[in-house]
Amino acid sequence: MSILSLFREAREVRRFSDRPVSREVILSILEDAVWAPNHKLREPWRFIYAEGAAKIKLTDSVDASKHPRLVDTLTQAPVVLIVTSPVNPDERIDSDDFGAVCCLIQNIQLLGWAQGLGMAWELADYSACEELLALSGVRSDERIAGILGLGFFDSLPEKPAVAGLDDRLEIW
Amino acid sequence: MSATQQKSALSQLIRKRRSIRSFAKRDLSPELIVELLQAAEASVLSTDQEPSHRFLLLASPDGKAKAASIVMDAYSEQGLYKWLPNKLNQLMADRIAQIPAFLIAIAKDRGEKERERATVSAVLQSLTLLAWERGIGAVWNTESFMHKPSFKLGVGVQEDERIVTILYLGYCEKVPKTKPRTPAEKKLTYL
Ligand SMILES: Cc1cc2nc3c(=O)[nH]c(=O)nc-3n(C[C@H](O)[C@H](O)[C@H](O)COP(=O)(O)O)c2cc1C
Repeated sequence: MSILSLFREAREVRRFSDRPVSREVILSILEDAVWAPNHKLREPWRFIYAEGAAKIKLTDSVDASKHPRLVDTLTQAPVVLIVTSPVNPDERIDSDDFGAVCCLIQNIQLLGWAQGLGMAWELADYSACEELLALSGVRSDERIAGILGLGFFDSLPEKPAVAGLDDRLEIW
Repeated sequence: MSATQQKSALSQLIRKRRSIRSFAKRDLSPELIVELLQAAEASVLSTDQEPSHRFLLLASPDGKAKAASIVMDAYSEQGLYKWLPNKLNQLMADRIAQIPAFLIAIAKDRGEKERERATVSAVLQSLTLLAWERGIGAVWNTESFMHKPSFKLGVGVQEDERIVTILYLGYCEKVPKTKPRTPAEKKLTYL
């Protein structure tokens, strides 16, 4: 597959196989992913890795009625990676850093996909999930840019229709 | 490409990509950008069937000339360049004309705005990688002029929308030196 078709075929994965994911595989993805663009080279990301018992504790700390998607991902994925970006009182720095971390997460997704590792990217307002934040050590000067569920998969999920650009792109 | 080749090609693409700020004097076809943007949109894990972000692509001499005058208005609104307006107007217009294309990425600034901004950033990262594979460089611009009312009005950005970035695009002339990255391992905590 060319890189172009690899990108076109990428999709969310929410059901994973039992095949174990080694820490080395994830770490090698991250060592590539940190080459994301980021303003003033602040490298504004931090990673928190959870699997096994630690992941179960995180899962149990979240209210499933408030965050059903998140609980599903935490339950299903063999490896969970929380990626944070710093909160900054300067609005431009704050949003530049968040944007850079999202570029990095996109790198993680693509690098995983290229080697058969699927991903789900959870992102919502988790500020009320105090136990989750405490267990994972997310500080008050950080925000969660993504809670990523990662794992191999047996069957390829269907790709949802991609929204067209027609009415969302203007050319001058 | 085999899976292994695919993986290492992508790894190289991600590591070798650099932000490009000066471009070759060569036109960039809007059709190519649109094709790559479509693939970039497809590559993103969007939970939203009806995305609320949109784009404005400026690639024609007329479109860019219009943009140059809008940028000048925004600068003077900021209190910059009040002096020598004509000379600087020309400078700004020339600078903008030299950049082959601008892609303005616009997201809704309400509701789940972090989710939407995250999606837009991910799309632009995919686009940047696909462009780099074809010798096209890009750089994000997030200077504050783009949030000024005169600029927003000029490019038709609504009250409840926010410009995430203006991506500058063009064929790459020379690749700047690589700046090292901190190993991910140093920023990783195992629970
Ligand atoms: C969210 C974001 C905002 C950025 N804003 C600017 C900008 O306003 N002007 C600029 O020259 N570069 C900008 N950049 C590019 C970074 O400065 C660049 O990624 C960094 O210097 C690392 O270099 P590299 O991309 O070549 O690896 C931005 C990058 C990101 C991700």
